Amino acid sequence: MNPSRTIDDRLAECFAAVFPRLSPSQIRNATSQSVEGWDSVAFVTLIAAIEEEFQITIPSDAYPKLDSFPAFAQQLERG
Amino acid sequence: MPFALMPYTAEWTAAVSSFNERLQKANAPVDFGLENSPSADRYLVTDGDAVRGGCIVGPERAVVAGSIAEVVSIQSPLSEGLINSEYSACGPWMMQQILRRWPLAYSVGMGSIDRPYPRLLRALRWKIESVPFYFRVLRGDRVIAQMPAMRQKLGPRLVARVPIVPRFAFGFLHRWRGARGKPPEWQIVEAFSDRETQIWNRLQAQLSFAVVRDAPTLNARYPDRAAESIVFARFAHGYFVVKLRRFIDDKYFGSLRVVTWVDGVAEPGEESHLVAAAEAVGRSLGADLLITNQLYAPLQQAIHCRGWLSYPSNFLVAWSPQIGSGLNPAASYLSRRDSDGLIHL
Repeated sequence: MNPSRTIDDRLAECFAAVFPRLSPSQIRNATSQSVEGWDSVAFVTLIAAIEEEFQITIPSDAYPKLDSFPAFAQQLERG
Repeated sequence: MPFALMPYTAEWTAAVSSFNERLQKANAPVDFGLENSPSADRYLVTDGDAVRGGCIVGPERAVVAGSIAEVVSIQSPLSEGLINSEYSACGPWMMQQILRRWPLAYSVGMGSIDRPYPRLLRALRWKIESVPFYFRVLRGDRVIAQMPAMRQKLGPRLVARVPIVPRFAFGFLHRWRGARGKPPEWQIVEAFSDRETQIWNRLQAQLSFAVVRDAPTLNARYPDRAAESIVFARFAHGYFVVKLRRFIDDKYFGSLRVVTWVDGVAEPGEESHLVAAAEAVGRSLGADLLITNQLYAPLQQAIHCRGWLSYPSNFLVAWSPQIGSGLNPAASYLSRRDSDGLIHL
């Protein structure tokens, strides 16, 4: 792991893996409404990618709020 | 507003209707909605006053890794995420909540693997298997004349000109593939008894997963047998259930008499006799075509040995991670009868 990468950088890599067509700037503004292909399967894949990258478990109670890149970032900052 | 998983009670009826209307208006890729009537086994995902999803959670007793456990079958799940990506978390949230309450869960049917629900389950690390489909043609001439797929393939003129050949061709084909030997003595019965339970008890210790199929469970499972054309039958070392249906202008079966072998249990080593007895009962009921879906490897082997034919199956089974992690599909007993699998038969 590169220690200089911020949480946002690492989160952006997870988004890029699930939504490879998005540009870096589109990723930072991504929402469930704006990204084509953001369906329930993409959502679960994103959760799995983030859990693996950050070695955490995201509680399912948090799922309803996780509808954008900033929302995921907030969730990770809260720990 | 956070989601909540609620039992479906009468005060939610209007919200369920609104949910169904939204799905219909948006052409959701499903051919069903949430039921309009509340019941104890139905659950809803609520979001304030609105309904965002729901499913049926049916409790059952099952063998899991050789021991009896309480499991649930998840049926007809729906989520607003199908039509509005703002709710893409709804389906995953619902499934995780269900697993929190009922970690031993399974689901059957679902259509092909590329449908939204099996894709979601796979992403949630459920174990998914296709339950192979088998058929045996008893009256080749009628099958070729009645099944739209067959007519299309052979051409209506050819079908009209050679009505005799198919009558014998399928019999020859099944025999060539291995169907030999007389069926065991069998009898149709009103209900199953302790004798069937004893057979089940001898088999269940060998199974990795199976919903219980002892006599009390099967008798209760099919309460209105006559009205639903369900037939119970037994032979010395096993027992089985078939369902007769006369289709009329069906898109798959035309106007055939189809007997579905929906359930069947044999003592270990007696599977071939079970298949032969099911064939004999199908014939006695005047079936044109016998069909079944079976997952248990010894039964599949017996079906092959009896010369049945197979066709790609869209009947899937999915097990939650807690069941699926140690599960051996080949040692699991699953047929068309499980969960709501009889819905289109």
